[in-house]
Amino acid sequence: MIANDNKTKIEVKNLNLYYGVNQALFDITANLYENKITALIGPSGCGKSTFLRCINRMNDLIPIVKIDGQIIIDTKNIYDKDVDEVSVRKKIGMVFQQPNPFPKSIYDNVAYAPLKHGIVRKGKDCDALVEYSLIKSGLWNEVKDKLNQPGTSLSGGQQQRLCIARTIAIKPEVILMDEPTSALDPISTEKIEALMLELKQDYTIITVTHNMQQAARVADYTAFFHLGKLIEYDETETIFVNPHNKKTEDYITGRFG
Amino acid sequence: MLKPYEAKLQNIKDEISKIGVDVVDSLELSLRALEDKKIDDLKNVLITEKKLLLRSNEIDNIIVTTLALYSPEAKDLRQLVSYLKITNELVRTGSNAKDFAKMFKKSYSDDLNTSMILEYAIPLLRSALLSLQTSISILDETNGKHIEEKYHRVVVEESKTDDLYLMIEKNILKLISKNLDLSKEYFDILSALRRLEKIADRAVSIANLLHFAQVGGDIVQS
Amino acid sequence: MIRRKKQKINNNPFYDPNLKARHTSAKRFKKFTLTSLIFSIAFLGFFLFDIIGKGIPAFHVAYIQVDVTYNEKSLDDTRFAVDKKYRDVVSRAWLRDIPLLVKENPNFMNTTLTTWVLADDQVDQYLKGHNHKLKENEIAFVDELNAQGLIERKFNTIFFTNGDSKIPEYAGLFSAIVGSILTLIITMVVAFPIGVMTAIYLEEFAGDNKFTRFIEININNLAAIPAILFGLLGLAIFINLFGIPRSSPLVGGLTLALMTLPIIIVSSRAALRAVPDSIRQAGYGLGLNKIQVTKDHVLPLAFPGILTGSILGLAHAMGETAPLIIIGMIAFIPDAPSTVTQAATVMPAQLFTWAGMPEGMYIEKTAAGIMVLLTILISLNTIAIYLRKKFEVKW
Repeated sequence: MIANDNKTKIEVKNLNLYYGVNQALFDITANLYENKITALIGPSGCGKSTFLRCINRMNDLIPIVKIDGQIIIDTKNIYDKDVDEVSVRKKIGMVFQQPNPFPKSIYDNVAYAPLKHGIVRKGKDCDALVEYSLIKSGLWNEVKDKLNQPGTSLSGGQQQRLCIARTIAIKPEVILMDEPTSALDPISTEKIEALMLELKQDYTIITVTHNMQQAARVADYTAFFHLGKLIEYDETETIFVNPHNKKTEDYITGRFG
Repeated sequence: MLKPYEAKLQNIKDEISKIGVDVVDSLELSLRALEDKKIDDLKNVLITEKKLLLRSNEIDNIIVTTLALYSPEAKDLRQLVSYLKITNELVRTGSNAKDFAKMFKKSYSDDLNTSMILEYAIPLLRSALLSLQTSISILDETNGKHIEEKYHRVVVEESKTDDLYLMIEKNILKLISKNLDLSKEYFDILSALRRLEKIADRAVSIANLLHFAQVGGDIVQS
Repeated sequence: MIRRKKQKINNNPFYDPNLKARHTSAKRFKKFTLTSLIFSIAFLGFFLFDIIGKGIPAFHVAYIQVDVTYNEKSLDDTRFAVDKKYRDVVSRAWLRDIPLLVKENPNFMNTTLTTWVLADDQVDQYLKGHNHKLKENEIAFVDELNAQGLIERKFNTIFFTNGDSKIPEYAGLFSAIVGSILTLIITMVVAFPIGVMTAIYLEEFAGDNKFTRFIEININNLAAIPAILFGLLGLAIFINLFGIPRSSPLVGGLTLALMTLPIIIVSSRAALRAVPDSIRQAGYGLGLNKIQVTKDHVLPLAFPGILTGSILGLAHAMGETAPLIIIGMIAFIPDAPSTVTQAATVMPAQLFTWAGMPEGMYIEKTAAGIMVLLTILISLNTIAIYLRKKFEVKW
């Protein structure tokens, strides 16, 4: 473990995951820090996305998945029997690889979930929340005059920022991002990366990326996964300049994966 | 460009600039001492190779980290690589400046032909100072034409130092042959002055590297 | 000559000797598919040409200008309302309606009016040049009337306002149309909600286990069962077990609902499956539960597909005859039903009945009925396409 004065937001303890009889995650233990960007890197099929989806219990939607171990967020294990998975997902938002705005207007896209959760009522409060979320995701100026247009009328990069706004609107504490820029062009990617750096002041961000350079650019901490095991987890600078584990170094230098 | 990346690049440039400025300041101090004929003031040159090395190592490590994290390309890459080499040059330059001050003060005395020495030493020092100063100023230059002009000036000043040194070398050797008992002192003065000539050489090297960083081409070390 | 060809080969880096054979083979294939298309269109064209040719005459009938006497004697025995020589050339059914006409217009009493009277079906057939059973003197009489301009052809509104009749010239499609509409309303009201809800359950909520797969296989098989078996099922359950009146739109609707159900389920499932999973994932990621995701996000997107499938199912049901025959909807229905429990008939069944009648006029009425049925079916399909386009939400 790294000695530092960071506050731990998510504590993962001995997490194992099985797809039926096949084990996909082997005894993962790590502390993810508050208001930092943690990147999960590794070759395809190494389990990083699976691990990410454990944090907000999205893997519960797949019937053959079995999980044991603990993920403790704010001193409560989210896999305890008395924790409702829906409430976990309200605190921990998710942005996906393919921008997937709802086929509704831009306004409704952002407002739908908060209204359903009862965070705001329809009317001025809701308008204010939509505006706040769109400002925070850097989209407000581009869409403020066309909130009634369908969310799907935006470009790819804008759609992804809309999905981020939608996630911010439910007032989460953690934002999970599953390869958020791999479907976007370089300019949009840069905008999203700059956005991530801003967002980390208010949220804890965990992101999966298959693009190592992206992890190097934005992440404070990087975790390297290989074949379902967590090989190395350290400050990004260490991982990219002086990795301790040979497998990590081989991956970083492009010798495999 | 991401903010942390921009911040790092600016930081590296500023730190290098600071080292350069410190070396230039010490040369200016030496020049004033010689011009006012207060050779004792040379003891006020406080830079040490050790301290400069410490700072240059720090900068080098930051450059390595920046290269690892941000994968710079084109001009950014050239700049960082040239800065990596310039830190070395600057440390050596600083060491040269310190050696000059120390050795000159140590061997200077009224027994020597001070008027002749100063007649050559002062312009030599001035040229060396100017070449280094102009070289360092290319760091902040973005206009290609200005860079060419400054580079040219550096080369000109460096050739001046070459000429001046040759002349004073000839004269001092003549003086040595006439006053063999003062030969050690004269040799030491010559050694000190040689340091100034080296500083000008390094200034050209630095100017070359900065030119490469800004404009491109190949690295040419002189 | 040969030398020049060889030169060409040497100069052209793109020369490929196989290409000519491939291109000819491709052209042959294209010709073959085009021929098949032309063949199909030819059959269709022949069919339409035949039907329209036979059916168009049904839309206009002959009327004869006759003096009609309204008095007590004629009301008693309506044959006396017209002159003797006209009795065989005017429609008996029209004469039969005279008392009703006088009741509505009391001022007709004891008057003789010149009116356009519907001609007898044989006269009409003769005038159209078809087979007829007129006698020699009747033919001469009709020709004379025609020469005097006392015979006119008018648009056949009777076809659309009357129910079935044993008197050919009075037979119409009205009761069949009403019967069809009532039956189909029942079908839709029963089949649509049950079908869509089943599809939603199977697609969104059911687990992936043997039981679910068993249900799926059986639903798919149901879609392929011959329709007549549904008629037997309807007979056994709805008529015998539940005691619902035979030949009523209620029974017909319920039977057709059973038949349409598998089609609606299968197409609704396909529509739901076509909704990309990313929408559901996004919903779950925001902390919504299954009902919210399904109701507010998946269903609106699947709606056009569901709607299309349902309308196509409806069109299919509209043309079904076999199951309805079993439950008795080929009875003779002169009056349109006013409730769903009265005896009724549907359009295809009516046409089936007419096709078996001996009188010549029924041939053209059957063809005309086919034209009406086809028009309605094509309109339904067009509405399905239009609605699908209108509600298509692009994502």
